[in-house]
This record gives sequence, C-alpha cells and structure tokens, in this order.
Amino acid sequence: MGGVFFAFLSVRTLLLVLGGAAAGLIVLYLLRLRRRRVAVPFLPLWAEATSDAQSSALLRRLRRLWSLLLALAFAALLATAAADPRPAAHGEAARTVVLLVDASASMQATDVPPAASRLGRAVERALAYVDGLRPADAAMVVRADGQVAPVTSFTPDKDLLREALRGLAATDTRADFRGALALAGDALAGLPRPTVAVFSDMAVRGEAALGLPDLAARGVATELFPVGSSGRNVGITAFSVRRYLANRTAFEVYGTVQNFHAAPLRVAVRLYLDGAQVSERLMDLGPRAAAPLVEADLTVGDVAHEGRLEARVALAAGGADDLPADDVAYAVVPPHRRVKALIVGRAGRENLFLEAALVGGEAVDYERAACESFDATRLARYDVAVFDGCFPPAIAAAGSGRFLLLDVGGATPVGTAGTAATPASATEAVPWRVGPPVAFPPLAPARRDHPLLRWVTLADVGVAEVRPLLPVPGRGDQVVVTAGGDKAAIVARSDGAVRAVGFGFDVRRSDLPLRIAFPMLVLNTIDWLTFSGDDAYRASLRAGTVFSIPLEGAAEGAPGVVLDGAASRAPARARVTFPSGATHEVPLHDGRAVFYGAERGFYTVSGGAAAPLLLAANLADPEESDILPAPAFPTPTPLSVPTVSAAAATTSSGSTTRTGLPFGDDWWRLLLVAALVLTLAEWLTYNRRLTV
Amino acid sequence: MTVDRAAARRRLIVRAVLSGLAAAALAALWWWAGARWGFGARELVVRGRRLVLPHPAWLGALAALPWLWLVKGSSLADLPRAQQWLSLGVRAALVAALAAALTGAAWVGTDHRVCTVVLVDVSDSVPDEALGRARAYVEELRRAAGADDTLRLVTFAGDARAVTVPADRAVALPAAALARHAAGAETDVQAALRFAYGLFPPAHLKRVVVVSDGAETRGAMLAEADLAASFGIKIFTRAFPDAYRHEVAVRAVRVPPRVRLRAPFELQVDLFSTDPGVAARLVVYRDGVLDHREALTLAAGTTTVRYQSEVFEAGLARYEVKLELDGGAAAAAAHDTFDNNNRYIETVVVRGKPQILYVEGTPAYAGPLRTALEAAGMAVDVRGPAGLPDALAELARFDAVIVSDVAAELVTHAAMGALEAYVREGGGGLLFAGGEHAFGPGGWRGTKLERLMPVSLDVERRRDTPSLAIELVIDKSGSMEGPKIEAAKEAAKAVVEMLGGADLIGVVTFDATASELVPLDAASNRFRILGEISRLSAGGGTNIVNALALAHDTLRGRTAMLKHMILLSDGLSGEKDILAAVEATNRDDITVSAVGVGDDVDRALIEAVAAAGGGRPYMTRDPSDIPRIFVKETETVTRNALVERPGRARLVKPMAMVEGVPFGEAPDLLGWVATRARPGADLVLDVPETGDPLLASWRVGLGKVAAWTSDVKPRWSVGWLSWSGYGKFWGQVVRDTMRHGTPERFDARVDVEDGAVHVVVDAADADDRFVNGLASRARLFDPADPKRAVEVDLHQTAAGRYEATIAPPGLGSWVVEVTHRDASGATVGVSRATASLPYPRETLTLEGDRVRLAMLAARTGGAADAPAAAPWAPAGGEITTRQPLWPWVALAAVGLFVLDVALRRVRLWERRAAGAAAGSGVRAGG
Repeated sequence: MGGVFFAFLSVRTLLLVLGGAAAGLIVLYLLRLRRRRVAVPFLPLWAEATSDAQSSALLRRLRRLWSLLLALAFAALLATAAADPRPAAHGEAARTVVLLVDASASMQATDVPPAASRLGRAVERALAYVDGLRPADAAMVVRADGQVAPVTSFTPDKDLLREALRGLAATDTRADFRGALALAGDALAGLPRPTVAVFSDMAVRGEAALGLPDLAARGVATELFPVGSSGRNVGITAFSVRRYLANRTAFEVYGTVQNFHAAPLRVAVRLYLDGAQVSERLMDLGPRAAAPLVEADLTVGDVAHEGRLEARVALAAGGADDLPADDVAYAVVPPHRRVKALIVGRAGRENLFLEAALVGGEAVDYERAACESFDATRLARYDVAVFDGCFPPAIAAAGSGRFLLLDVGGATPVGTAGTAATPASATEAVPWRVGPPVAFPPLAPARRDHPLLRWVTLADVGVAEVRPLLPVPGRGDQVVVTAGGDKAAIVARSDGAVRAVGFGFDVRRSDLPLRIAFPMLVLNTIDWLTFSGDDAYRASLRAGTVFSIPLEGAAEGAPGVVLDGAASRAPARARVTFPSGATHEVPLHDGRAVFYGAERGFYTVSGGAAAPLLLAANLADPEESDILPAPAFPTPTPLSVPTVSAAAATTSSGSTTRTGLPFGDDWWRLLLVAALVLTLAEWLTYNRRLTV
Repeated sequence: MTVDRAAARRRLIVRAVLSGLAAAALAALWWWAGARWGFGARELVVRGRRLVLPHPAWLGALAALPWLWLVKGSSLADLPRAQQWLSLGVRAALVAALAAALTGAAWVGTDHRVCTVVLVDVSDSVPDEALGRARAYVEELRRAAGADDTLRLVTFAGDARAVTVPADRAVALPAAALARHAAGAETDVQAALRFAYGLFPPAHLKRVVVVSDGAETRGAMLAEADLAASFGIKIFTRAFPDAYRHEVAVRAVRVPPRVRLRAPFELQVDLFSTDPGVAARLVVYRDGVLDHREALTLAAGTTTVRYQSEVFEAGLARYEVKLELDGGAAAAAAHDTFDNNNRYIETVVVRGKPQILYVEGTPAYAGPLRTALEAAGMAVDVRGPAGLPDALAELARFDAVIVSDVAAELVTHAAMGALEAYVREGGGGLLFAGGEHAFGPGGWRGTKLERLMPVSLDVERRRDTPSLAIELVIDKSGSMEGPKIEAAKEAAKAVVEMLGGADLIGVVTFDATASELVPLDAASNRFRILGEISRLSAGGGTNIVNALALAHDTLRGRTAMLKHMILLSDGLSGEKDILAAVEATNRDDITVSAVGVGDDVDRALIEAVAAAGGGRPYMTRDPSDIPRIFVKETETVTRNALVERPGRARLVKPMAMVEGVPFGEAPDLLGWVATRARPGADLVLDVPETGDPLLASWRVGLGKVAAWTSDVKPRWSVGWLSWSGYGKFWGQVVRDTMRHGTPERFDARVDVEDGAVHVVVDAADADDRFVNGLASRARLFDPADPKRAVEVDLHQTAAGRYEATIAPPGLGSWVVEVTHRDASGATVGVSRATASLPYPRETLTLEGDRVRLAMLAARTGGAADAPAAAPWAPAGGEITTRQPLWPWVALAAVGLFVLDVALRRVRLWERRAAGAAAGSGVRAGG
C-alpha cells in the first residue's frame, strides 16, 4: 500500500507546527478566564449569581474539553493542508505516459457535439486521463499532425499537462503517426512502465497507415481513445490550374471532388477567380465516389496576370458537411511572361514577313537592331535574338542564349557591312558551316514529331536556293527539315544552355512566307527556343509538408552567419506571408526558401531579385478527408481500447485512478474547505455559548 | 423584558437582512468579476512582484464574512464589546486567509537555469576522428555548465537515442556513449530535434547543440527551426571540418534523358575527391563491355569527365562507372574511406528499332522470317538453339523472343527459367513457332515453358492413329545406382503417362541377366504398370544383348502399327553383339533409340545403335535429363501431334495482330503440330478441317505469349513464303506480341528525393491538349532482375499531369515504366525513365553542410561553432517559476486561529456593566 507524502512541509516540520499550535491552544484553554466584575447590591445575591455556574460545573468542563478538541482539530486541518498532502502510489510503480493527441485535419470534424470538434473531444478525454494520473506518474503531451512535436517534457505537473492539452489546435495537415509513434517509443525507451495513450479519430489510411512502428513489441503499453463516428464529408482532394503548352493564353483547371459519405450527395462547385465567380456546376456524387472537375479553355484578359483561383464545394441541399477544411481549394494561375525578341537585320532589309509572324504571336514583343551597328551587350535584355543575314561572333562560344539564325549561309558577322561572306571564310564563330548550294530543292520534314513542325506542312514549298547546314557532332544538333532528300535545311541545336535554330535559306527567296505554315513555323521556333519545361505551371502545394521554393535570383548565403571567423555572408532570407497573414523570414538555402507550411491558402514568398511568388496550398489529401474512423488503428499490434466513461480514465491495469473527490489530488484544498466550514460553524457555536 | 426581547428580535432580523444583503452583494461582486475577467488564473503585481491566483473563484468564500457579523450580533460571549469586535476582525481575517489560500496563490519568479540537449551525429558520414572531437566537446560542455544547469545527451543518425550522462561531472562519459547506430546510413537532424523537445525538464532555459557535419539525408532541419524557435529553443551547432574523412567517389553520371540508337551523345561523370592530386582511373562499361577508360588526377572537389558514347542496341543500356585509385590499398587508405561510392550504375533508355531475338532450330532456314521482320522495321538477331541466353539480363534488351522449331532438350533449365521471368516479370514477348521439334514432338510437355503457351500439348490420340507398342530397355546395373536409376524410373513413368490407353508398354531391365519388369501390356493399366516400375532397383553387371533379345521377342509377337524400343544405359561399351541384336529387331519393323547417360558411355556406339535401329541417339551427363529425353522420344516416335497434310488458315477471331492480313489469298499450309487452345487464350487462326489451332495468344504476367503451330520455314509454310501477306502477317504478330507494343507517348521525369523516386508524367495529345482521366500505373524495376519491382498508381494532380512517389526496394539503377490506360481500359501509352540510387545517400553527401548548420543556428538565435560556454549563457533569457504562497497563508491562518482563541481566553478589558461600580464587586466565572 502506498500512503501520503507532503509536498510543502516535511513531516517533522508539520509535527513541529502542529505541536506548537496544540501547545498554544492547550495553554490557552488551561487559563482560567479572568472573571468579569459583577456588582451586586448585597451579598445574598452573590449566591444567586454563582448558583448556575456551580450547578453546571461538569457540563462546563466537558464543554471546554470539547472546545479544545475542536480547536485542535481546526489547527490540525490548517497545518496539514499547508503541508500539501498528496496520495502516494498505491501498490504500483509510477508510469511514464506519452499522451499522443491527433491534431490532423480530420480532427477538425464537427461530428462530436457538444464538443466543437473531434480535437476538442480528444482533449476532453485526454484531460480526464490526466486527472486519472497518479502523483508519481509522469506524462508528456505529443502533438501528432504533419509536424510531430512534444509540447511538454515528461512531467508530473498536471497543470502543465492540462495547459498544453488545452493549447492544442488542429492543423490542415495529415498526422504523421509513423513519426509520432517512433518519437514516443524513443522517448519512452528505458523509462518505467512506458505507456502511450493515443487520442485519435482513427482516420488513418493508405500511405499514412503503412509502416507504423510496433510499440507493443518494444514493451510499451498502448491505449487508444477514439473520437468521432461520422464519415459525412465531401471535399476537393485535388485542385490545380495549368496553362496550355501551346496556347499560353488559356488555361485548364483540374480538380477532384470526392464524396466520402456512404450515401449519394449532390454538390455545387463554384470557381472564383480573384474573388469573382467564374463558373458553377452541380455534381452528383455516388457513395464514396470521386468525380473529376475539369474546366477547359479558361482565359483572363492579361496573360501576364497572376490570378488567385478558388474552388468551393457545398451541399446542394444546403447545410454543411462535417469537415470544412477540404471544402475550399486554392490554385494560382501562373502569369505568362511575354517573350522579348530582338530582330537583328541589315539596314534597309527589314523582314516584314518575319515581323508579321511575330505580331501574330500574342505574347511576343520585339525590337529591331541593325547588323552594322549591333551592340552584343543588348542580348542580355532579350529572351531570344533573331539574326537575319548576320550573326554575332559570340554565338558559337556562347554559354547560354536563344538564337534564331535565318539564312546562315548568307550571313556575315555583325558589324560588317559587306555582302555575304563565303562559307569557306567563316570562322569558328559560325554556328554551322554550310555546304554547296542546292537550287530549288524540295523541302521535307526530317522529324515529323519535332516541336518546330507542329501544325506545319512543307509540301510543295518552293525555295530558290538552300545552302545546307552541316550539323556539328556533340553539339546537340537535330536536323528538322531536309532539302533535296538529305541536306539539312533547318537545324535545331540544344547544347546545354544554348538553343539555336538555323535556316539554311533565305525565306524571302521562297514562297514559304506566303503560306500559313510560316507564322506557325516562326512561332513554334520562338516557343521552342524560349520554352524551359513547363515553367509556367505552379503546382498547388500540400499543407503539412516542407516547402522548398526556388526563388529566381536568390543570393546564396547564410544570414548573420560567421564561419571560421570570417565575416558573415550576404544575408539570404526569404519573407513568407502565410495564409493567416502572419509574416516570417525563412532560411534561403541553395536558392530555395525552405519552410514548413501547415495552413491551406495562398502564400507569398519574396526574396532575391525576383518578384514575390504566389503559391497555393491545400489539404489535398483524400486519406485525410476520409473522416470515417477506421475499424482499427493500423499499428501492427492493435491498440487496446480501455473501457472508460467520460468522467474517469482508466489505467492499463484497469483500475480507476481518479480519486472520486471534487478536488482530485489537491487534498490540501479539501482540508482548507473543511477548515473554512468548521470555522464558520465554530463561530456560531462559540457565540451561542455551545462551545467556549 | 418583553419589550427588550421584541427589540432584540427586531435587531436580529435587521442584522440578518443586512447580512444577507451584504453576502448577496459580495456574491454578486464575485459573479460580476468572474463574468468580467473570467474565473481562470489571474496575475497581479504586488509591490513589483507578480502574484498569480490560479483559482480566483475561491475568493467567493469571502461572501461568508457577513455571517460572522450576523452571528456576532447575537453573541452570548461575555467579553467586552471591543474585544468582541477584535475577535470578529481576527476571525474575518482567518476566513479571508482561507479564501486566499484556496485560490492557490503563488509568487511568480524567474530563473536562469539552462538545460542543454546535445545531439551528436554518429552517422556513417562522420568519421571516428570527428566523433572523438565531439566527445571532447561534450566534456567541455559538461564542464562549462553551471551548478543548476542540466545536460542531456542524444546520439542520432537515422534515428535518435538518449544517452545517460553521469551526474558527477568528474566522471567521464562512458566509452560507449557515442556508439554508432544501426541506422547509420542516414542522417535525420529534424527527427533528432523533435526527439530533443521532450527531454527538457520544466523551468529551464532550452538549448540544443547539434554536433554534426550537417549532411542530412532525410528530413529538413531548416524547416524545423521555426518550430524549435516557437518552443523557445536556441540551437547551437558545432562541426569539425578538419576531422572529416578522406573520400573519393563517383558522385553522378549524367546522360540525356533519351538516347537514340547509334547517335553519339555526351556522357558526363562527376567525380569527387576531398584531397587534391589523387591519381585515379575512370573505367566505364556499357552492358559489360568496356566503353571508356581514362587516367586522371582528381582535384579537391568535383572533377567532371565528359566523353562521347554511343549505343548500338535499342532498349536499355546499362553504364557501370568505376573509379579506381592508383596506388592500391595504400592510396585507398589515404584518400578513400568508403569504397561503395566508387561505383555508379546508370541505365539509359535507348530509342530505336524493336529488338527481336529469333532462335531457330535450323538457322539456315531463318532467312524468310528474318527478312519479313526487318522489313517491318525490327532489328532481328538470329541464333541457333545454343544461343538462347540463360541470363535474364541478356534477354532483357530484347522486345520479343521467337523460339522456332527448337527441341526442349536443347534448351537448358536456366534458359527456360530466364525466359519465363522475361515474360512474367519483364513483360517481354515470346512466340513459339512450330515444326518437327516444337511443342509436343519437341519434348516441351511438362516443361516450365509449356505452362506459358496459349495452347495445350496434351492432345488425345486420334482414332485413326496407329497404336504403339514400346519397350523400355533399362540398364539397372550397379553403376546406375542412385540418381540415374531414379531418373530412369521417372522417365518410364512419364512415358506411361503419355501413352494412349490402347498403346502397349513393357519394361525390360537388365544387369547380368535380362528380365521383364513390366510385361508388355496396355497403357490403360497405368496403376499396375507404374507400381511395377517403382520396384526398379540397380545392382549387378551389364548384359544388353540379352535384354534386347527379350524385348525383341516380346514385341515381335504383338500387333501394333509402331513398335519401338528405347534403350537406356550408362555403361554401353564394346559388346560386339549389340549391333547385331539391334539389326535383328529392325528386320521385324521394330525401331530402337538409344540413350546414354554418364561419362562412360561410348558415344559412337550409341549413335551406331540408333542408326542401326532407325531411331535417335541421345547423350547426357545429367541424369535429370533422362525423363525429358524419354518424353521427347516418345512424342517423336508416336508423332501423333504432327499433322502433315495441306490445310487452310481460317480467321477465328479478328484481332489487331492480324488486322488487314489477306488470309483469303493465303495458300495452304502443309503441316502443323496438333494442339488445343487453352481456356482463356485468344484463338486467332485455326485449321477448319481439324479445328487445330494455328495461331493463339494470351497474356502471361506482364508479357504476352503467342503460339504458331505451323512452321516459319520453307517446309510446311513453303507456300506462304511467296504469299504477299507473309511479311505483313509476321510483322503484325511479332509487333503485337513484343514488349514495346505500346507507343511511348508521354514523357516521364524522375527525381530522387529523400531516397524515394518521384515520377511525374505530362500527358498531352498531338494538339497539346492535356489528356485527363488516365489510369496510370508505374512499375519500378531493376532491369537486371525484374523480380525486384514495385508498382504504384499515379495520381492526377493537374491537367495532364500524373505523379507518384515510389520507395525503391533497395539500392540500384532503376527503370520506371508507366503504363497509361484510358477509361475503356485500353493501353494508350507508356512512359519510361530511369533513376539511380547507386549507394546510400550517407556516402553520397561527401561534404558537410556547415552553411546549413549555421542557418539552423541563426534561425533560432543560436550560433554556429560557438564555444562550449555559449549554450549555457542565459543571454537575456529567463524562465518563470512559481513559488507557492498559499501554504504560507494557511500557516498564517493557524496563527490567526491561535490568536483568536487567545482573544476569547484572555479578557483584555473590563466590561462596563450598567450601573456597576467600577473597581468593586466580585469576579464572576466566564
């Protein structure tokens, strides 16, 4: 059996206090109260005045003794309360408990009234569990969401545990139970009577349910306190927007709307672009069925506009489902940057065909420059440079750049005003050497699948003369169009950061510009030259993951870091505005802003030389949206579910540990209340002379 | 008196009412205060000190104070009025003290105790020397700690583990304190930080010191910094770069995502060395053949080597890159810690013509089919039966394998196993073409490849087929003891199983004498015959001639259209009368085949016996081949599966593989092997007269198998060779059967992150419209061992975009193949890419990342490479503590009570009695 220990006073001190108080009280009660002076008219009345006292002497003695005992008891109550008595463990060693509270998105479900959410209900159960802990037990609260973290250390202080539990909030993330259970197991290693109490809705499925550690195999007792019961939820589990690869002015929305309820539901899905509704559709979803949400050919007036797209799903019949966290999804319509082109041609020989073709492109701006007075430093300001009849010496050796070279065989280096240089005189500066001219050769595609030839037909194109290009081995040259069967008329080069397309003929000396194929060929070429992957696509992120966002022009370095005594490098930080409006500086490493995003909504990341970057994050997790509790928690060894009432938690041994008193283990408070009642009662008895 | 009592009663009522009002007012005040500020914990500042009342609601007990006044008003206590008021005051103070104590009042204080959790990286990337330095640093930290400070120690790699630190700082850390973990091939600083959060005791300033090289392979420590900071934790970091290991490694091999056949491309190898001037050799093998060799001197850091390579076969090309140090073991010891990162394997997807392996039993006749397939745009590699690879890796580069008229005995067990894996796991195509030595007559019954065929070889004998009488003449001499005799028994049993019920079979055994183990009897008596065969045991000498004579006599007297003997011996040698005995059987239309097993058999004699007997010779060293030989021989001799007569091909099921083939113009075929289509197989062509299948196919595992029961040579198909549809027919059949029957349409991109392979496929059609709603499934496999494979579904994440993350089942060079199906389930495309995880990432991250460590520290207000005293400095930080005040209040209440009692027991003043004379009279008891 255990007993009592005193948290504030030692037993010896308590005995001293008690002894002192008792001695004082006894002495006071041994004193005979100085008698009241009573004036009597004559002596016989004295006898009358004292007769009552004499007749009740025994009673008075008993009353004094009773009063003394009452006083001693009162003093004992007070002194004992001041010593802060606490119950010691009763026949069991102290336990070490990890209170693992699921704070994932599904714990925001509202199917557990009167609690506001599943998390609220879980916290209630955890608080009851804490009430049931013995004084010698130690517990730690661990939050299990996307970023598992202990929010207390192991402590017997129930107030701290309660405070931590009440401070928990569900996030828009998936619970990392693998990490949480591993952390609990690691933290409990070697500690007495290790126990993990899991407070969860058991909506743990799919990938999240794989590979959970078997704590039971490590000797850890496990208990499960389930909350939640409903699966009535419909949510948007995927949402993004993407510009078309060919037509960057339009975009397509893709999403998935999923019904996790066991009954069919009719839902309304509305799309909002920058706050204005752009579409609405009704969808009938079968039981636990998903349907794609595709909106094609959407446009905004300005292709350079960066739009905020939102999708909202609601029950068509009104009302709300049990999980609001997945009823709204966000995406960013990426801006399409207009291509800046520079046309470098000989003075007086403007290529109007070429310019007309470029004007036809909705996202190309161009300027002209003259071959004779060309300044190579201008190249850095343009996305692509088109050379018509001349070429800068730097192309062949350029480390990067995008070039379209027309009539390579007839081109001269910039700065020269002479007529066409002979091919033989070309130096290493020439990107391609040219072969002997071929007159009126038929043109044919060498690779029909090449992007340059998309929607381009070359049949019956007449060319007066082709000076065939000679592809350079090892430079990534591809012959796109042949002349006369085996001569290269158009060559595309992709050599590291250099992309170039060369035409072996002068388009003016062909009927190609008169055909619909020509603007397509030019625009395809510009697209191919400037395309660097699907860079315009900005994927929606999933809340609850580490975001590693590349920032263009971000400086490398560490903020305020001093290594090896050297001065700190240039500060490199990114500033992130979270959906909640909070703004934080985050580290910028390897050109990437690295931070953890637990909220769904729009984030703005700025840093480096680039414009602020808008990002969207969603719950986007069908397994988390499926809020129907699973039949069992997916640990290798099933977690035991103690039979508990709302009022009392149960230990692993099955005995109820809650004291049953309204003050829990705060016995001192009970003693003080008893003393208070006693002192009020004793005040009455004393004044009414029931005690003295 | 009556008037006095009434007045007293009135006074009592008035007092009661006033008391009640006062109590109600106090209660209302309490309620209002609770509603205004709540009943939660309240903090007050008392003369500059912070006082917290965790449960201020208990102040409601003050509402009892009027009760004291009410009672006092009707007190019978015989004390002076002033003393009574004094007593009331003390008792009220006592009640107030109790109410104050019940609130749990406590002083809020501050403290500067520090708890530092030291996280020491013990992963593989941290060398022993650095661990030694870390140990010394931990000791420095212990010494630098203040008396009230606490140090906790954790070691981590892929996991984290708490280490007990001796409480006595004079006691050194245990030797095993910084022991390495089993999960040393990973470094997860983030997990270690999370582990540390739970180790801080209450009422301490929180510090973490990360002692690491910063080369994290899992998690994101920088993303964890915010959480640590939110917990008030300052992180300090410590690295020992001068103690890092010496290392050379192949860090990356870069190839273009797509390589075209015979098109030169640049292969780039990134080499790494911690030390300058390391002499080494770079050796690159392509599919096991030396592709590049180069001597070089490595600089400190990354050295990039580029060279032109070229691939000559479509499919998958496997590059193995090795970095070898000059100077052998001494150089390795000086410059290289891990040798597993000196080798790197990268697989390249090579686009080109489909690769077809055509194994022809008679290679001289391979021309027509080869020409047809090459005309259909395929690269054909023709080989004889011996050229059939028995290694899966060699088969893997072919898109289809054609096995034409090849006897099973010529195919090794290993080759059969490889072919089966090639089809089932590798998704390859396999086409069996017929002939005299194919299918049943070729001895394929009972082989593991028979199960793959879409046709069954178990054909019932036709009624018009002549019956067979067969005698098995089996050597049971002593030398046959063991596996040979057991194999002979199995072979004999297999023959019995193959025969039709009307066929006759007998078994003659011989050692020094010949005896009839199984009298010639109808094969329908299988159970008895099999039982008798089981009694066969070895022992004694060898007398073949007598055995032949006995078998001859037995067969001669029986009626059967075919009479045949199979002679099995392991000791056939120069018995002169053997050939004479065989020739004698021949005269009675009895044929003899001879099977020699073991090394002692005279091969020439075996062949001579077979020649004399009109049968076939077989030689094997492996007794396990005997059953297969007997089966084939029985099939051959019965020839019941061969149908050699003209027949037309009839289209049964118009499938894609024969679409547009003008069968109406096809000439007759002159023969085929009788089979039956298996349930579940697609019967495409048959012979209308007999119903025998000509062409059937089905899927087996990931691959496809087709069977063409006629031949592809100028024998049975001689008429087809000049048929206009021959090339189209075979081109389509092979293309449909081969692995790359599905067009590679959508580009797949692969990234390796945190040891997992992330696959992204963009699906767009010819007009660049996104393709949505595909059911895409990725298969990640090792081309050298397709059984090492993982399959996962891709999820559509955007218009035309499909993604999946796959955890590979280990290290290696992986190929990711994604198959896309449309809503109807039809395959509309495949995507391929490769991913390489050549060695653990722990040995891939060769340089520590001190900048990352420094950023981690800076993010939380800590410092990088700070001295040992730094973590212990409060640096303006403080923690709040609570010093309980209520017990003192309770003790004060004890004192007040004693005072109260004293006030009752000690009369302080004389009571002024009305009319009494001061200073006279007597004392009365109280």
